[in-house]
Amino acid sequence: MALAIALVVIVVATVVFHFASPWWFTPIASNWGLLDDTILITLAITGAVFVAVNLFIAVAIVRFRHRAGHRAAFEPENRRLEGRLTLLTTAGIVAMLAPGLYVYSQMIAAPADAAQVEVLGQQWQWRFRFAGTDGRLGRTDVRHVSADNPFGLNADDPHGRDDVLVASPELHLPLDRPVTLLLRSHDVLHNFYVPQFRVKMDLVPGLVSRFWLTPTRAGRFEILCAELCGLAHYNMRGHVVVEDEAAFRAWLAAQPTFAAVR
Amino acid sequence: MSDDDLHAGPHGFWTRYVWSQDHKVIAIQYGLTAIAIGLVALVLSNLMRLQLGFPGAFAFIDPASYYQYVTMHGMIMVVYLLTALFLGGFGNYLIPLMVGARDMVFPFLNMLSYWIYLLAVLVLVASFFVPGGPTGAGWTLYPPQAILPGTPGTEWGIVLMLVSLVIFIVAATMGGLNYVTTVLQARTHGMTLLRMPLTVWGIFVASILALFAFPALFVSGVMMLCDKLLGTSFFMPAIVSMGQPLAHAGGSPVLFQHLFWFFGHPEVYIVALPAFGIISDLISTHARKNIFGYRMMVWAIVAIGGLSFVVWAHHMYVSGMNPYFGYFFATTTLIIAVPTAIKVYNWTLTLWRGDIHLTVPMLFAIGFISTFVIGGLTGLFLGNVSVDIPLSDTYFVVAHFHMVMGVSPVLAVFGGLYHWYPKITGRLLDERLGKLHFWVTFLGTYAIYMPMHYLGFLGMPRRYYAYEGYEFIPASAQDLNAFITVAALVVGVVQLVFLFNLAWSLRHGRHAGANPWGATTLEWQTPDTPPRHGNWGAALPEVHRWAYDYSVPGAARDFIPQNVPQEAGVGAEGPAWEGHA
Amino acid sequence: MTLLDALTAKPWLPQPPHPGRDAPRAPAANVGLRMLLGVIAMLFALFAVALLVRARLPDWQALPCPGRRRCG
Ligand code: HEM
Ligand SMILES: [Cu+2]
Ligand SMILES: [Cu+2]
Repeated sequence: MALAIALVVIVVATVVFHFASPWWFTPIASNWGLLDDTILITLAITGAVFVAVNLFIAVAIVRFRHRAGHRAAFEPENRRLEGRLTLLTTAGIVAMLAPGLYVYSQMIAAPADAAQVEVLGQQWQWRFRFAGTDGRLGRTDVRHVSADNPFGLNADDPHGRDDVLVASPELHLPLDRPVTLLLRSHDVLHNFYVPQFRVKMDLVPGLVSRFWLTPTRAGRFEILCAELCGLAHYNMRGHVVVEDEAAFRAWLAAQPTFAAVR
Repeated sequence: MSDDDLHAGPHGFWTRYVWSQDHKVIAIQYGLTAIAIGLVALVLSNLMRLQLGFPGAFAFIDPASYYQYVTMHGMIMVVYLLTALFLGGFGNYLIPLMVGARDMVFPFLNMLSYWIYLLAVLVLVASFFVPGGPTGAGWTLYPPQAILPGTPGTEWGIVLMLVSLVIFIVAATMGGLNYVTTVLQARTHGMTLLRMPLTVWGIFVASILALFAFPALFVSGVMMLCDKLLGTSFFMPAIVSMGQPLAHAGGSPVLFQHLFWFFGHPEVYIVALPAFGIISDLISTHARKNIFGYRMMVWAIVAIGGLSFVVWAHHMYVSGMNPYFGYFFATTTLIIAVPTAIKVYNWTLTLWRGDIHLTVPMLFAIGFISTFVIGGLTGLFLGNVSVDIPLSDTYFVVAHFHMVMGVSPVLAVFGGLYHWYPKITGRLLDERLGKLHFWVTFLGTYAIYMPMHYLGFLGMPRRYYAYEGYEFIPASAQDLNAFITVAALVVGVVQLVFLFNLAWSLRHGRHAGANPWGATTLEWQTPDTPPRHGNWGAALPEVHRWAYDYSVPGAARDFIPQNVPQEAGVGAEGPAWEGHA
Repeated sequence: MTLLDALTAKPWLPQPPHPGRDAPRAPAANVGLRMLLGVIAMLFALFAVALLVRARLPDWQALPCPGRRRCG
């Protein structure tokens, strides 16, 4: 009996907590509102199942708890019921998987006009690189990395000379412009994570990973690292500033190029 | 008395309790060792919680120790506690008894398996005492970080961890061969595959998974040892570490992740399937009702076991692997939810129209259903590639995997121990202490993990030593963390009550008799309790019915043991058996 | 009884009196050895896959030949 009450209390408390909780999605600042929607769809379906199963157990405990003279039924199986439940479950799964895969197909297809920005991770700081006037990022290699070439740019590649280098952990992005982030690491795994953007991706030494987004809200947001990268993992801070085009242009123009820092 | 001698087994203390080849003694050795090392992991978790709840209040917990605690806690809980306890402990004790064998088919190998497991544990423990301490790379041990400066324990700790794992795999393989072969070859007369209790099914399939999944960990461990000690570059690309260029080049960190999770996902089910089996039997026995949809339950265990080998990359949606893999792995992962859901339905339908005795094992079993449902449902978020991306590496993940493979299997372990302790010792565990233990653990884990999901929605990343100065995290989150810590401490302390109960009831518990729960399965039908070496006295039992003849219509008692002949059990020919509504 | 039959029987119904009694079983060592060979095959397969994946990455160097002779 106490268990039945406890289960009901848990269900009620969970639902109340859900609606009263001050801890909820950090307000979004990118185009990926669809991700919040898929979470909510999933939460609605799974929440219903959670409530249903727990209440069902509670009712079963109350109705079929042991009393003198009471005897259980003998019921090896019930193919019809099992078949129905299987179908219902499958339907629920499809209702979650379909929107999930649909959103995913968008996430991995960056629009053709997306700008490219490189994010470079290193224990434990962020750096950023923009293509210069030629619109192309120069080639890099870990072997070129040195104190005065922290990006590992290939000095022989003409495309690299005009690349704009941001050595401080603050990235500016123009509002409402799609951008693909190209992620690179010189040492261990890191993960570029801005809670307000929703999307995240590992930085993997030896390859370039990527994701895209469109910042939709001006502001200054924190960059965190979301892949364990050693002692200061929790302190690998940075900021991304989303601002209008003019302010962004002015900021970019004030950053040095590779040719200038050499 | 030659017969008695034969089955009484060896006499001296050492041969009887230390170098024993009796599966029951080995099971107890495995169990006690696993619980001992598990206590270390529990203490580590409470230390972590202290730091998270009251940051900086405990000066000795610096970032290095925090990351070492995280790593050792995770690895011990998953591998050295739960895997060892379910397979080496429950598997060893129950398989021969439940299938009606005198022992495992390879008793010497079985003994060796335990001692090698103990060696693995000792090597692991040794890493606490070497210079630099244990590794702090996270239980996933991802390279390059695991073997580079900037992570604690990259000199000795990681080497000892990998060596310990390799030793553990040798032990687990020896055990696994035994469990699988015993189930296949040593069942007694009449024990067909579908007459086996679900506990045996769960442990059997989990052992097969262990046999074929651990090699992936072995391979990745050996290769990482080569990278670390011999300077090869399997997983190490060209790297500049702390300003120093390294000699490695060309390796692939993502390759390690594929190998690791090819082991790691089946590992989840190595822990879950035995729990499924145990829970099924507890529910059926204590609800005095046959398990609903037995065949479906068996097929689901087999299906889940098979599918668990083709879902591994759902742990790698943000790893930088080929993004098109996401479609495949999201689909397989959500498919696995169907057989899993069926299991949950069938547990609840077993309760329906049952005769539910709320004994302590039953409380834990029903608690398991509740916590497993949450953990399973949140898995649907994390398996569904796009939904996972905002949540991956946040506290949502921590809440999810603790519910599904931390709390739930541990509840199954407790339920199982309260249930089988009387067979192991001849005495019942104290019921009042048991209820206290259940209520605090069950409600406590809800208090710990339910709110954690919301910290995950908020976006709080996991594996963080501290969250100071992050503006997107409201100050109230810290209060919540303090609350969670208090709950975790309470849950930690109440486990001492359980340990006390285990020790106290050994001498003072109520005498149980041979079959205190009125159970049908063979382990309760032994001539002696606790069973002697050889289990069955002069003659092996003969099985005449399935494991779930509870409340059979027309039968005098509400259970008919498996070794009771058909004619003796009423309704044996009764066509009414199939004619349920 | 084939495996499929064994896994689709309705075990709660009365079965032939001694199912499986007369079916001779292979010795346990035999079955155990087969399982072990399976595990070892898995181990080798995984080593092979890992090596092949690694060997496809650009910087892979074939093993140098001993002595001066050309191999293959
Ligand atoms: C009272 C019980 C427990 C508490 C309070 C607890 C607490 C914690 C905490 C605080 C973390 C670190 C979170 C972070 O910083 O990211 C953690 C990680 C973890 N725990 Fe537990 N835990 C408990 C039981 C268990 C059990 C029974 C398991 C068994 C599967 C388990 C498996 C893990 C794993 C695999 C990790 C991840 C380690 C990593 O990130 O590398 N925990 N736990
Ligand atoms: Cu990090
Ligand atoms: Cu998995």
